[in-house]
Amino acid sequence: MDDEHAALRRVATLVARGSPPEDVFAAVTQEVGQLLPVDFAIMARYEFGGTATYVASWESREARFEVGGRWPLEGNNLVTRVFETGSPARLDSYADATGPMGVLGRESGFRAAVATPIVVDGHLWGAVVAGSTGDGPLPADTEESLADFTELLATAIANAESRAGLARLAEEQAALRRVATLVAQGAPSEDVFAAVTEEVGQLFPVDFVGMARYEPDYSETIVGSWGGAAERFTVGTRLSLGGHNLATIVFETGRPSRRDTYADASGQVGETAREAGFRSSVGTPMLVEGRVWGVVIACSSTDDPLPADLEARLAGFTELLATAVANAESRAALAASRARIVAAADRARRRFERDLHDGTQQRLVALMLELGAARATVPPELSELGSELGRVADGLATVFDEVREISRGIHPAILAKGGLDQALKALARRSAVPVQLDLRPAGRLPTNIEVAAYYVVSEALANAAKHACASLVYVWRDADDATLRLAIHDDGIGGADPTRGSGLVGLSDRIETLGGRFEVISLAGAGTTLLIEIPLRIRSDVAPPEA
Amino acid sequence: MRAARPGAMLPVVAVRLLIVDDNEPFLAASRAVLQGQGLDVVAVARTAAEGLLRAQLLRPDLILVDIELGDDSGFDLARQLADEGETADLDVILISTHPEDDFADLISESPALGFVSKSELSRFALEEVLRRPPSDRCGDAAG
Repeated sequence: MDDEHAALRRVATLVARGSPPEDVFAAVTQEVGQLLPVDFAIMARYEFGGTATYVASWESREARFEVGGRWPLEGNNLVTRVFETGSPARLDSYADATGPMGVLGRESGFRAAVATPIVVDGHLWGAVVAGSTGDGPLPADTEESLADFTELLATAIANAESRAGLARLAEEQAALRRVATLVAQGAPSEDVFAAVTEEVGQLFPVDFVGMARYEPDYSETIVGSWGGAAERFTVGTRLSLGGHNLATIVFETGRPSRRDTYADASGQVGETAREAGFRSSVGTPMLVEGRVWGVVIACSSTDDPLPADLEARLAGFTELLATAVANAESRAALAASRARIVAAADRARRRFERDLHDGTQQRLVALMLELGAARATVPPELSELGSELGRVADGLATVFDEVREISRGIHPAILAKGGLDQALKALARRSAVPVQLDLRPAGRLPTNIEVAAYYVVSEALANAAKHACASLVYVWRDADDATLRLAIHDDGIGGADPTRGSGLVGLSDRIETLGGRFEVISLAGAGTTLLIEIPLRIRSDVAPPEA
Repeated sequence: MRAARPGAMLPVVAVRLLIVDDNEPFLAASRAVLQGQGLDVVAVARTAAEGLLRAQLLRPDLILVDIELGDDSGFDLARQLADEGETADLDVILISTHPEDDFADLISESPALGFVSKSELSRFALEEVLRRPPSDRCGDAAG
């Protein structure tokens, strides 16, 4: 009895010191083994999905027992019986033992044993099994002695879990807050994806975190990748779904799922994962507006099972991801719709200009030429008729000029024929205010960008003449592979308010539609400067939702 | 622009003219008017390829080329005519409904002798372009 008290006190001291649970487990199995008339003591933890894992063991020289591995809870054996009843149990002969754990015990030389449950916070956590390799049942009070130790164990586990739980909760909250901040800032989706895979990878005991978007053709595209096997799942990789693997299961069920072996994995995703050396993994769906948009999968390459609540904890991240994706999709859809509206309007204007040019203007020219020919045949004695026809010809010429002006205002033909620089030169020649052009060498640019740049300069020149009372306008244009830059400065009165005057607002809308920047600097008395930047490459972002 | 023959003028004898334009009403009207003014419109062409072929076969004294030939460019045709050995010596004048101002740089870079607005097309206007010294031929034909 004194020995038992001393043993319990040693364990209690360990627990009180807040020693790591593994140390307490090892100490308990050893104390139990040495105190009781037994040859072995084993501690098992119940796992998610009806399995148990041995977490510590002690054995005398007579016993041979391998700790490790995960075992299904089935058959006639003590760990399974305690799991089923929640009460202490006893097995007087391992000859009757069945199930993988029972067979293992018999093969390890066990003959008789007792087991007691470890109950942590009212919940069955695991069991301690102690037994002998000799014949005959164990003393009747063995369960009772064992129970004193399991109570201490439960306290140690509860303490450790609440400390670890609090620390983990704090870390998890901090990680979620960092991701939420990114989402709220409207960071590009690829940045959010990278942040989430990294946060999840550092937060949980996993070796790899992957994130994929499901595609309409029953495949997935990797959009985020962190950890050891990242080179097999680089961002942008496309993998077919189908077969037995987590990505396919999550896609088909729309629910979290878990795999504890890759031995039977199949399909492109499953085989790649097995080659990467994954042993177990957990996948959580990302649900965006009711559809399964993608999946986050956390994988482990070790034999240790992933935490039982990993699905629930990943869900916090996938919800944030879903918000980020929904935001990015609505932004992308809005931008695409703006761009389509502007492009449709530009196409319509080009068509009007073509129709005017090919139809009305050509017919007017033909009429003018024919009228001119008719005038030439009027005999001198019909001078009245000659001057009448002359007035008609003048009227026709005025109409022709007006149509030409309208046509140019709708869409300048020079833009299509000669490109932006020729069109800017034409604008400069017609400008009421002298224009100094500074055009840096550049090739032809995409039509929508040339049109936008043309309208900006056209509007700026009109404003300089109409409102700014400028005497000179300086127009600078430069372009490299990535960006078109325009600067337009006049020496007029300044003080232009970009929020009034619909001209500037319209231009700013047009530039923003192209993902560009539009800035107006107009201090009273210091002239007006417009600064424009238009990207020449389209930024890759989340693919817009399927139409 | 190509340097023209010094002092070149349309001779009193009927000048042989080719018009390259893709617009029927304009072709009909311009042909009638210029014929009436004593020029001999020997052919019309509606595309750049057809224009090049007619120019090679007929060797007209003057070719009028519309800047906008549907999908083709009149500037390209003028360049082609100047670059082809057989047609390099033929005179070319660009025409368009657009004002000369809009295309001034492209016109002066072109080997064509000059430009006449379609609304001002006449034998007189064409002679004006031919009469001007080479450096001045892209000015407004009417002015």
